[in-house]
Amino acid sequence: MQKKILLVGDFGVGKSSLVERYVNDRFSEEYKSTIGVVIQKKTVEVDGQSINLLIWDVAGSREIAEVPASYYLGSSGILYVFDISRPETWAGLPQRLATVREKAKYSSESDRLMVIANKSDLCNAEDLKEVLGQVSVKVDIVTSAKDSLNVDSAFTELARRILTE
Amino acid sequence: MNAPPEDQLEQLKNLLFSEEIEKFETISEEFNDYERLEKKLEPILEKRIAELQADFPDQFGPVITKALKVQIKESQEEVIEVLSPIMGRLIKKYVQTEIAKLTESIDQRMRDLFSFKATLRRWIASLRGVSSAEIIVSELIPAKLQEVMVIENDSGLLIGRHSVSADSDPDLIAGMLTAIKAFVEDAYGKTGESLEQIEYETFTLYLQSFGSFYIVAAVSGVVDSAFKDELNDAVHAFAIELTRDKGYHKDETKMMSLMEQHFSLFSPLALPPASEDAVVKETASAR
Ligand SMILES: Nc1nc2c(ncn2[C@@H]2O[C@H](COP(=O)(O)OP(=O)(O)OP(=O)(O)O)[C@@H](O)[C@H]2O)c(=O)[nH]1
Ligand SMILES: [Mg+2]
Repeated sequence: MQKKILLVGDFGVGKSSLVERYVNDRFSEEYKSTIGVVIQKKTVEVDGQSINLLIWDVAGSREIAEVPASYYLGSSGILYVFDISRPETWAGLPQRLATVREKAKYSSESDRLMVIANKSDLCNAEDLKEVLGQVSVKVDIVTSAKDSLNVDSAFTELARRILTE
Repeated sequence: MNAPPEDQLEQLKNLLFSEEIEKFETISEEFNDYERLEKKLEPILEKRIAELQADFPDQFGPVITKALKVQIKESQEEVIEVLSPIMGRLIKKYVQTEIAKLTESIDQRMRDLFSFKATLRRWIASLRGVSSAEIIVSELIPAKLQEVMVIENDSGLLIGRHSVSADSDPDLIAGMLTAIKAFVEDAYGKTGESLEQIEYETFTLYLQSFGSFYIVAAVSGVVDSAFKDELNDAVHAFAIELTRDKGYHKDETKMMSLMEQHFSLFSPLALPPASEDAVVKETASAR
């Protein structure tokens, strides 16, 4: 079974790094901003079912409305990524998520849009707690592409939600 | 008694040069006092630096250019290594365009020919609906169908594939093509137009949408109109079959054999074997 999923979010929040960690188990400090979209794939096992994930790593944009609507078409799940260390990447998150839902044509109840707080290695537990309090939406998973924290879980969890919906 | 001669000399020196000695002392004081010296020199240095900045290209440009030239000359291997991938692509593209131009010029020359054989060949060509030049060129670099892909319109997921080579990952290509298509149609497609053709290096990709899916045919070499027509027909015949039975979308083996059926025998214009003298030779001698 093949499923298309998308990673969206602001510039430099670590979307490509999460994919690179997940697919090739690699991490680089170097920042090479994505142009357009890059597609990778990986097979994931969920409850004995194997799903071939086609992962669309979309170029970051401050205005989420800039992402072509057609990129969302036919997607089964979306990871919205922000950077814990940069407040501008999670400012106005509820509005941004609403735009994504609308473009992807997901209902407001659907949990196939997951929110990811990345770069947890850059802050301590207290800072993290404070940020999570401020983002005013439910954060599904806290990750670090650098330390390989929760990266697999994020993708597997999304796959699981896709299967159950 | 008088003072010893050295002291006398000293006295004389003081008498004669008192002014100079004083001046010398101030200067040396100034010179040894770093701060004072700095104050004095600063304006001069600044002016000099400004001049240097302004004149740098003139004064040193030629020297540096020369040094660079020598450097490049001495490290040709490295330069070639860096440039060759870029040049390779450019050259391929260049050759392709030149061939297209050649096609036109051969056409022109063929039109100027009056020999019986040439007239005959022109008739054959026009009967087949291709230009004479296309026949000649298609003998040189024949167009070849490399790959056909059936891709779901929205998601870009690959539904089926028929390929002569299996070197690249078709899932990723299908995805990227869909992204490119989406991007182009988003930017320009408000009028309902869709992306139909992409040229990439020496490949031409033909895209055709059929409702929920689209078909991509990748062709290498020089594509003439006859090849294109034939390809078009094959793609349409295949698409009709595909829309008729939704079962193909679910059954991979069924899909593969249908594609095999439609595209494995697909070949460009079956040209008759070249007669006594090759067409190219004929054009060349007819100048
Ligand atoms: N410390 C730390 N740095 C990270 C992490 N993830 C990514 N980075 C760094 O953040 C920078 C941007 O990462 P990318 O993965 O390129 O970000 P992106 O979201 O794909 O950026 P765009 O393609 O421009 O939208 C890079 O320098 C990464 O090394 C992380 O978990 N921790
Ligand atoms: Mg990126």
